[in-house]
Amino acid sequence: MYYTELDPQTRQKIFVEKDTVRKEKQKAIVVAKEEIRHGFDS
Amino acid sequence: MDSKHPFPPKIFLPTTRAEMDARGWDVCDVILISGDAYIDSPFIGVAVVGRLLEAMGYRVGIIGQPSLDSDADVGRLGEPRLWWGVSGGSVDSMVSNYTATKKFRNSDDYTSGGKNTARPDRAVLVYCNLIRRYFKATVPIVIGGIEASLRRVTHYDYWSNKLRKPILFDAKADILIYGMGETAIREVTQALERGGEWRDVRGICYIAKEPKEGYIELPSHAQCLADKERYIDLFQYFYDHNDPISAKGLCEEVDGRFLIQNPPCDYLSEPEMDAVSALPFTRELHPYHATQGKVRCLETIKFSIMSHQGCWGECNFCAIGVHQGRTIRTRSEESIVSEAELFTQYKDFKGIISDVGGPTANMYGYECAKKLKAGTCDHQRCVDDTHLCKSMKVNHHRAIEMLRRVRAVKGVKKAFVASGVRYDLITADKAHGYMYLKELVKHHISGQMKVAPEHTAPHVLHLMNKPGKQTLIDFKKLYDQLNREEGKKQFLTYYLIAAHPGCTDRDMHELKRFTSEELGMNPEQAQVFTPTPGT
Ligand code: SF4
Repeated sequence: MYYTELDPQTRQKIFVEKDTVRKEKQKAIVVAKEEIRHGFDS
Repeated sequence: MDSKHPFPPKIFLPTTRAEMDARGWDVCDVILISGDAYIDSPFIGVAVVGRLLEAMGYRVGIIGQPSLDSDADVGRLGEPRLWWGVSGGSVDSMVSNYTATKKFRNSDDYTSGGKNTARPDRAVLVYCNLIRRYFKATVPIVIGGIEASLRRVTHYDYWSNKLRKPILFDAKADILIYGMGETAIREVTQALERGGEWRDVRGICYIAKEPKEGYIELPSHAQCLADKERYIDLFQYFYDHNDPISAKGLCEEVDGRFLIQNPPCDYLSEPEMDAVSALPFTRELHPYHATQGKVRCLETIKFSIMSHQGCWGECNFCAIGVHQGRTIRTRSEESIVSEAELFTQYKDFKGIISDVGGPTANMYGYECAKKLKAGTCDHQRCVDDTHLCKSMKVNHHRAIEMLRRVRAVKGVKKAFVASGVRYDLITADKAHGYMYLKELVKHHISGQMKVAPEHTAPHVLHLMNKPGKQTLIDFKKLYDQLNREEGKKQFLTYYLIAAHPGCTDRDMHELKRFTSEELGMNPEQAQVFTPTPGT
């Protein structure tokens, strides 16, 4: 998938992030510290 | 346990000439070379191969991480009588040496001292060359392990960013044993011993001048290079023909010659799984390496129990299903309990079993009846992002009973389940799922449980073949409720993947929103996706 940039089932083009800096940025988005608003117990 | 061996076992397979002399051997029948230090554990493939052959009466030597600049290491046991075995180690050497963003890794859990100083890139190729440099016209070289296995047909290599040929066309080797390969190892050795034909052995690949009649001809390497869709076709055949019951043989043309892949070798039966687990592993690093320090992996694998092999979860970013197969092979409860009892004989056992599990902990002890009879389906998956096949009767009963017996062993204080647990299977098992989770919460985790939703965006989950976020929400409710009932304050932590194919910044923002608003937590870790061979 990464190499072909195609969905193997539909053979439609899919977006694939290939730039190393932008990959790290994707990670940074989810691990960024943030105040928790609400949620379940755990 | 074999009465020839002390209990707990203390004797390693030789890695030095002095050890061969002490056993009165002038020559080894088989010498195995690995990208890991020699760690004698049932979790280490090379150690398993060595012990299997030893049990058949063969003399086996093991050389871990030989130096590359002379024959001092590769030649220290002499030349084997039957075959050389080469493995890159427990992890593909490129995955082991580089991060997902291609930075060199400084640490290595399978090298003594923990520094990544002893594993070459593309270890399989390098070690085959090393043998050929010092042993001309030698006995066959057999490659195996995850690096060779998952690179056996044309494959995408992330580190050079290109399609590479089947590894046999780059490595100077004669035979490739793929998958877990226990049966193939036995049969290849017996064939070489007889001086007979080994090309019919199931579970191997080799190079031939002609394609093999009756085998499926894959798109050629050149066609794959020219057309990405042909490469997808090749991968699809490769993926579908991976089951010992239903798979056909495959061939692939590469520069006028052919890679031949025989159908997979049979899986081990339950008694055979038990017999392999009972081989006399010392569960230690060979003292030859110990002068450089400990190997970190032993902290987790030394007192862990592998309850089963295989995984039918088919997460698209994971190669376990391709390497181990998609049918669960379970060990008996008796065998698992006797391994726990064996731990109590070790002086350094503190009563803690680090893990009782497998690729997915809660696939122990049940399988689809149709799969056991006819092999995996190629037109549908046992589980995908939206459904679980009706034929898969998820049943945690045996796992519950097995874990109860393990924790009842005298001398065991805690038996962790640290392997991944599929929460969608817990909620799917109406009869026993609740009890299974209750037992985990009460006895088999400590403070936190790790689960692997990986993402929440439906189109990304679809490309990953992971269940939707509602199953996670349902599971979390159950987990929190059980913790309340048990009076425990235990958390969930989550494995998450960034930059998976299909995933944009926007999807990551949505994942962030979900974790903070609906899970009420800040993820501390996420993995950047690595496209590994075989995925
Ligand atoms: S019938 Fe369903 S559960 Fe059984 S092998 Fe096929 S897809 Fe998997």
